[in-house]
Amino acid sequence: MLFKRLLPLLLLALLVSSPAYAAGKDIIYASDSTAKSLDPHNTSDTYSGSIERTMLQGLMGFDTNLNIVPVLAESYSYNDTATEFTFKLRKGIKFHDGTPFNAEAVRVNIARMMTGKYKRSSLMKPVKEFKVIDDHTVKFILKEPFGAFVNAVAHPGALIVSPKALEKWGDNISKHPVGTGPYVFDEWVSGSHVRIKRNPDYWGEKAKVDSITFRPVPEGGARLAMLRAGQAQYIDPLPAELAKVAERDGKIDIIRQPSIVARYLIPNTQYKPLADVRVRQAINYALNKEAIIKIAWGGAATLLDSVIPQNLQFYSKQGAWPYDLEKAKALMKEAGYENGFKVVFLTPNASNRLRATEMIKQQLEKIGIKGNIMSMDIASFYNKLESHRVNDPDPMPFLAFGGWSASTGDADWGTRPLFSTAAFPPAMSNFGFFSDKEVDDLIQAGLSSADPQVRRAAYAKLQDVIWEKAPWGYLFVDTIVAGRLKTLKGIVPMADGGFDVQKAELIN
Amino acid sequence: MLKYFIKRLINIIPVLLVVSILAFAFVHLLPGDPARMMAGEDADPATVEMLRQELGLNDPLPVQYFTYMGKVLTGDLGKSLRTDLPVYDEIALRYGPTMYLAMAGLLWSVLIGVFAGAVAAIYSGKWQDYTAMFVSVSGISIPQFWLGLLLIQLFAVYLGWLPVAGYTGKLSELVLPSITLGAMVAAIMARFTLSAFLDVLDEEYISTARAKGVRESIVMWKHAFRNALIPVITMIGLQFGFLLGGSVVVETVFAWPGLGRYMIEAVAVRDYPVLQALLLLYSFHFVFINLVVDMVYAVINPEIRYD
Repeated sequence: MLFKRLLPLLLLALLVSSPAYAAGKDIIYASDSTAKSLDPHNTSDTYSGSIERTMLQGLMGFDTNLNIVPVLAESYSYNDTATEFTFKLRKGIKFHDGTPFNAEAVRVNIARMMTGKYKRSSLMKPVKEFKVIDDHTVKFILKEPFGAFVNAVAHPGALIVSPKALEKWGDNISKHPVGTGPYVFDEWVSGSHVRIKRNPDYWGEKAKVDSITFRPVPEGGARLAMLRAGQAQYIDPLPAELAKVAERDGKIDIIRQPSIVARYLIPNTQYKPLADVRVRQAINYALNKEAIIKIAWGGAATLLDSVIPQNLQFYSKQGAWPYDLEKAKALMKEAGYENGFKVVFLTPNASNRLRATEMIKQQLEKIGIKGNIMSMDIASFYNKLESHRVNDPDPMPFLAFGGWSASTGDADWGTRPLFSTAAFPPAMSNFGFFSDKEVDDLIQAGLSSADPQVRRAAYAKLQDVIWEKAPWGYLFVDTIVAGRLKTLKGIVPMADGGFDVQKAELIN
Repeated sequence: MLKYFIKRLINIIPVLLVVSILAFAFVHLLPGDPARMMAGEDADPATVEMLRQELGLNDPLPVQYFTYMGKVLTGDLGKSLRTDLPVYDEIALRYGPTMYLAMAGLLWSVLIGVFAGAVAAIYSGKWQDYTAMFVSVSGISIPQFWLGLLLIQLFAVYLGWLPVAGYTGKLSELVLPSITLGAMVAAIMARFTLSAFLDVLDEEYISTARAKGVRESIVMWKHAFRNALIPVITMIGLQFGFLLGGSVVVETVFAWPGLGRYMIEAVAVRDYPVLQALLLLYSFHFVFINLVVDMVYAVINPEIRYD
């Protein structure tokens, strides 16, 4: 009876559905994220930033491994104290609306960011003054030495928008982005999709596809189904648990790329037992990182082998803390906690993080560190961590499952907000209240120059020092897993969790 | 009747006012700072504070409430904290897809559900009864999530007839989500119709009708069915109210740009203006649908009158 009733509906469906989804020169990019803004200066998420990067360009930019490359700037120079940065601009470039790209266009954008009103205004916070030297030269004068400034200029939050469009749309520019990039904006139906079209007048190598549609598809199984049915050409992420299914499908390529998302366990060092470096080292020996990656993370991670992931600038490998229960127990005994102590495990309630925390709890039980798990949604989790204050007479004995992605791609933003004394909450994100004079000094040293040699030396030392002091239980770095039809070339994930579609191409 | 309708319509206003206070309090009592969520996971504190100031989150709650209501009364629902886009436009954009899906799902599920329930009641204890109830129990028991993925695998991946997910205005995109959404409603309707029908069949006027020799088909369709419809209509109204809220599961599986997913995304980042507007809208749906259901009673049963 039910089937009889359904039959006409199905027949109707057959009639109206177009039988073939043969891909022309259009690409569908299905992702678990939703576009939130197309105003670069007011964008805080990587996904929206990546879509913006297809249409808008910055003076500098990142390649897929987050190396800094010139884009709208031809070259740059800086002074010895890292307080003045001069950029020479490319000539002959026009925005999509015909406005010429020049120093004045840059000035309008930087001035907008410097009003302090936008989510990415912080990128220009070090700037004291912006100067137009000539039509194709601009200079930033900083308040104090800030060696990582070029990263701020390369950040997607500092993309350059047409000044004419800014004047016309004001803050509604979010729905009408106009830039200099290889694609132009077509349409954004909030919650449904963003579509970009090929820019036939692009100043560089022109795009090889007519359009790309970015569609949010939150469910992993549905994303994979779209790829297998040929209704999407690229999906991001491909859930780790579905990778096996995708592997068996001959039409699909699986792409794996190490990200810059570090995962770690934050001990509250204000709590007496966790203030002892030997206890924190014992935790590092007691954690079986490989098992957690394999079971909780579906294998989609690599060991965190320094305090910053390998794709951040000035990373220096430290080796790993091997899983060694005997050493861990010995250290606990030496510290006087042979019988262990009680803690609380804090974690966001996303299923993989909860799984990981459950494993961590079991592993630490073996050295006597016992406690219950307190899981909550991500907003409540940060609220909880930020609510603690230094010199709390009754500090919460927490071990929190933390994560960090330094979107500037630089070692500074991968260390300063997390380990410096000045970063205690509520100021920044040093949630475990780790404090060390030598670490503070080295963090400053890394910013005192823009010379890569000087900075590299400072950060190498810094990583070495922090690693031994174990302010974290070091865990792993997420691997980005994406799926792509074999007929598609040129779309690649970027280490910051974004993507690059400039060289996208459909082949047969 | 018209007077009564208008009176009831006006009565909605105080209900919505109370709801607005509850919604506002509830949303602001959730732990978690929207400014923090908006600024991004690796935001610096100055940005977070700048956002708090700009959003007025540092004002006392009553001040925030009256500022908000003042704007709402002039038709301004505010801007989404997450996207900076006007909440009114954002909801309007998603209202269509959700309404479309709810109506499609409800239409087929009510037709099939009521029919199956009636058949089960008429042929009580026979194979038709068992078949209808077996299908209906299955409909309630299958998780929507799983049913959706199964349908996708069969009709979109394996057979390649239908799109997997998304909504761009094509009818073909509506088929799988509406089947998934309606399956459970159809099952609920079938069971509900069955029990309403059986209750009515026990009534004395049915025995009377049979005793005076009225044909069995007329007893069933004129006497029993009409009366059994009253609770069924109530149930349809209730289900429609829920469906209009947007099904989170179906909208997620099928990447449907509707209100359910919007709500979930808003909760995750504590997007206060969006949450408040949606809660108000949902309450309005229920109050309004209840009113319409009351009116429909009068049409079905002429004995019911409103003055």
